[in-house]
Amino acid sequence: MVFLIRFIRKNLFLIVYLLLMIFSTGQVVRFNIYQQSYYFNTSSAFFNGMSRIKTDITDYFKLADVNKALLEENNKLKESSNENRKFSDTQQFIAKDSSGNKKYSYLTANVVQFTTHLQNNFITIDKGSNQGVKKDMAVLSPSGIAGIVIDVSPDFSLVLSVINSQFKATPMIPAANFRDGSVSWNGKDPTVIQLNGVSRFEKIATGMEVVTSNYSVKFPSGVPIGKILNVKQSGGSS
Amino acid sequence: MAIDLLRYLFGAVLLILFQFFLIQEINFGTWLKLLPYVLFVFLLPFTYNRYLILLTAFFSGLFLDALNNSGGLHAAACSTLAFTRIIVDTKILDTDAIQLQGFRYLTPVYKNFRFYALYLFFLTFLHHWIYFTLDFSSIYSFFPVLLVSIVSSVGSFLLILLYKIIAGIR
Repeated sequence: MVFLIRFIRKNLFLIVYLLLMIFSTGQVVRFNIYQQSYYFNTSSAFFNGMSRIKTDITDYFKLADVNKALLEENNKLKESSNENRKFSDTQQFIAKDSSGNKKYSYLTANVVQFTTHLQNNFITIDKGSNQGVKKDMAVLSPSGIAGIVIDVSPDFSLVLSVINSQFKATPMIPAANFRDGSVSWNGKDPTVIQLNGVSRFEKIATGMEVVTSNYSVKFPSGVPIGKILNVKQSGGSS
Repeated sequence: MAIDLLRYLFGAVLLILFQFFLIQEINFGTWLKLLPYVLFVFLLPFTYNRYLILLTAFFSGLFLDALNNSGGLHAAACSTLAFTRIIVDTKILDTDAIQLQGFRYLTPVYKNFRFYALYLFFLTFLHHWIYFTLDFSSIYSFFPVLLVSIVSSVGSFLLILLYKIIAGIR
């Protein structure tokens, strides 16, 4: 016992450091896709307030880009006003109700906080369970997919960003009649994500638009993901 | 002492806000991710209790983590930086002699610039390496982590030196 006390007293500084490291790395491990609710729920209004100030400032400087993106989105909506309506594939149902069943409902939210410089980036939005947000809901931006809701507090939601190494989405390329593979981020350039698992026989070319697949269980089909920047072969896939 | 500590804490908060509001918003590319806020750990005086230095670094890192929703990435890296700085200070530097010369922390004026640059770069690299190792969280990412740590610590190092030049080398 005396030896133990002496050992602790002698190495107290190292022990304190190790305890701090265990706590910090524990937070990093806990802050993964499955277990991050702890940290998210303990983040106080103060930190969300700080993040909101930053977002307000950056939003101001991005107003021109946002307006442009909104105009483009508006045009797309005008072109395909029935995109978000699902019709039954039986003629009997269509005959009964020509207006169709609404498959998705949309809720607008503002970004409170986001990062782009980490390997695992998240977005915090200002809508939570009080406004009807639930886990696994899709989050869209004016220019395409943004992420998936992974945790919800009463007034805020945490979104797994597209540029998070754990994010995956099911894509399709209408121009190439391609519905396969998966989209994920390799953690390098936040403006470029990777489409993996594509057969070398697929006729995919630079500039083709990639959208969410109709096989996707989380995202509505046809939401823009991006455009093919370049095609690379690795082993059996490209 | 308390007012002095508050002054340092205020400086640390300013550096963290500078990191959060400005540096993080600029995309310098895949391999360059600047973290110049580490400067505050180098500015903590030798006279401070080593536990105080360690805890100040830890909580400052945790503050930035809370702003970024990044778990304990900065807290772990800052704790390691502070811990190593204290070990290096006690083992390599003659802190009493430095203080007698009127310096509260290591400056380029003590010994020579090369010595200071080596001290600053080694500790900055260690901080960045811990940070990116935890950020990438994959054993397969050893070389990407090493590359991003080297490039980013060179960037942060130059930015800190620039500050030193602007602030008047002391």
